[in-house]
Amino acid sequence: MKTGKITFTALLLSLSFSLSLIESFIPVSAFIPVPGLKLGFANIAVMAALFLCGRFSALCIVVLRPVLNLIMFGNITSFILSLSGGILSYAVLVISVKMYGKVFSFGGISIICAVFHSIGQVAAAAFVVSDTVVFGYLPLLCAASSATGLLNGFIMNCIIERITILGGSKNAYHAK
Amino acid sequence: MHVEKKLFRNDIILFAAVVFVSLLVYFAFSFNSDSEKNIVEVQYYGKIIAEISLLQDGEYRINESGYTVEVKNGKMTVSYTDCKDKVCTGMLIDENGGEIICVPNKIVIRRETQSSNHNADVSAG
Repeated sequence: MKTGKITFTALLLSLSFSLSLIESFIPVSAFIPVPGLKLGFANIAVMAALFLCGRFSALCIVVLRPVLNLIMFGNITSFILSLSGGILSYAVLVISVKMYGKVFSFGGISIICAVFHSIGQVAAAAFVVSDTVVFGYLPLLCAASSATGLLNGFIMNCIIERITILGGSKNAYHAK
Repeated sequence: MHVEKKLFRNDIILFAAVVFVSLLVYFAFSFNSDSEKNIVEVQYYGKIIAEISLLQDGEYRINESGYTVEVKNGKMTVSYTDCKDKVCTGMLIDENGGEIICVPNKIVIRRETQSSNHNADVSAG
């Protein structure tokens, strides 16, 4: 990796970490009563990393953000949940990003990722409590998280539009 | 925000489809509750450690970290948990169903199912 790419990845990693901190202050479950629902702003940074720096940078953010969270707060359960959800949705993101600009904008891609993020998290939760009863929440979580996914996707659309206007090529670091 | 109209339409269609399918699955599974009404079982690390009647009011301490549930007027709610995210404090069990799941504490509380064995004679209290 080139130095510029490493620096940019680190910047996006810290951005995703701060976004996940900020969203923890927003009481989203007060408005939508689905247990475990989060806005998932941190995933905007992952999508941006995939788009601007490539797959490996995105994977770094997916893996290192939960690690940072674990070091800062020592919450092992949320580490397991966000890592498993993150890796599953990363795998799906890498595949589904090929549909960008052809079938979906980032809105649709983000919905797909959000659904698989929920699946990964619920599967990990079922593994942790050793009971499949958690899967009962999966439909509700999928419905609610596809709404937040759509929101994140539209934010991502705006970001890409701004970057293009600013003169950054679509694959700023790929091009070099 | 400038998105091609066709892509925007596809996004919305996908969103509507996901919500529709999810709610369909949710309602399809919420109607087949053939479990017993007033007894709930407490699972800790996947093992049934206690059975609690919803007809008896009281507070039940479940594990050594102080996880406590309260039964009042046929409703069970979480009265104390030491976990950070407090997801489970919004969950309750009443005559309509429901379950209490605390992932950090590895606790699952739900209606007694017919498949579960009835050997658990430990009762919390």
